[in-house]
Amino acid sequence: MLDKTLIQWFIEPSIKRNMSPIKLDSRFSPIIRRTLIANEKLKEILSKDHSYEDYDVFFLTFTNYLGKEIKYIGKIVDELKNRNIKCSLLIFDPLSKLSISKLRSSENMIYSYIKYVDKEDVKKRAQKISKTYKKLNDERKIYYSFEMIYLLILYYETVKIALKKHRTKLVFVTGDLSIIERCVIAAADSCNVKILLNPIGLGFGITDYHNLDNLYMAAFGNDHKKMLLANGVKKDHIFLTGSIMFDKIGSYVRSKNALHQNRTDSSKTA
Amino acid sequence: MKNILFATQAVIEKNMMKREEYLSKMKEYITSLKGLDIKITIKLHPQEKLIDEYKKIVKETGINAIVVQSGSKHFLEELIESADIVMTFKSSVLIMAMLMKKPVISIDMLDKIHDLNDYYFSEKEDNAVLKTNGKDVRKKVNKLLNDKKFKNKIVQRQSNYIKDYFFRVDGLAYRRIADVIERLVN
Repeated sequence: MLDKTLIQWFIEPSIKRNMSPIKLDSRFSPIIRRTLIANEKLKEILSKDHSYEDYDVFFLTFTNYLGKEIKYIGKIVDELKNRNIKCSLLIFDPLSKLSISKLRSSENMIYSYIKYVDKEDVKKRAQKISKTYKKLNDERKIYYSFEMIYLLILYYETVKIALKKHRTKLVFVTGDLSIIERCVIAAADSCNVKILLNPIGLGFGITDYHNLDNLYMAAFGNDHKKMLLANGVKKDHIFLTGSIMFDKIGSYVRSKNALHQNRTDSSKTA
Repeated sequence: MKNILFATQAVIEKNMMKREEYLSKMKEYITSLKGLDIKITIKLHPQEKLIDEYKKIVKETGINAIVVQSGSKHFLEELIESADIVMTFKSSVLIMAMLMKKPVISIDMLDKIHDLNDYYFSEKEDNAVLKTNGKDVRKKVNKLLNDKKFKNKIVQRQSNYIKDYFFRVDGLAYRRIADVIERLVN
């Protein structure tokens, strides 16, 4: 259930890491906070309608990762498609952006599912929770504002709808550092949809996973596994895979080593 | 002449520090390296928008440096490969440099983030690479340039860290992850 505790789970790691979606100086401005909502509303208006197919797997990604190839996850998506597993992207535009051309051209932008959410109910819930933080007067003010809580509840409910509509079995995420990522993880968990996480940033490990039954981890290595166990991930939910973040350099080093080996072999033969 | 790669992060763009404070610190680090027999390549994070500011710092300090941001497919890998020392903040470049057996100097500019006790990698990684709060960048660079034994010790320490933390870095994690997904959805 989305309550005050869950909202705190979304927000607190971002405060701890000082990852504000808006400029430090603007945190206290009511106009800026309202602009946040207006910006997200525009995304809803600009987004194309979503597809109606079933997808076994959704890959959470962001507009700034879309290009000739999808950053980090592109190879996994291709590999799964070759294995006939139905998968698609679930795309967010970062809260600080408005990527008009990508919103217009991409399918399955999260915003195309907002129309199914009861916004009045979201508003009431956001008002109720944000009221308890009204007296805040420090850097947490923007995070616990009505506007931010409204968006978090809205996206939490929207993700749940998207997962149900496509009868999704698993969501792949590349991190838990942003509020949006944690929001998606919690939404999937509440629908009993599996989540597989392989982090792409080094600032990983600030989230507590004790209450997430459906979370699985693709761990970097044994030390990472130990850390995950300590943070509440179940032992049989951890797989050693290595990191996709370092696949590119892994291939580079491997090809350089192979080249070096070939040269050594050739010189021996000569 | 030795090559130093200084890979920066999108500190301003991610609202982690005020612009003036950040640029002043950058200028301080770069100026401190003046007079050494080095060429610096300042590689900007793809999200950074301050390329002209960096160029201005280089011009003002008169240091032997170039400022770059993007290039070929393996641009960053090639820059790391051609570097004798890699300087960076806590970023993935730090790991990439360790993988390529380059000595790394990690600059602890963002105190608030680096001080998190539960920051993944913190303890071991901090013991593996050379860490500085920025005040003794020159001293650390000098030591790595002139003390071969010390440099080898650092590279060895970094290699041990990589071995402990990474299952495999072979470019095939995507395939192993696809295997896990296939297993979980079926």
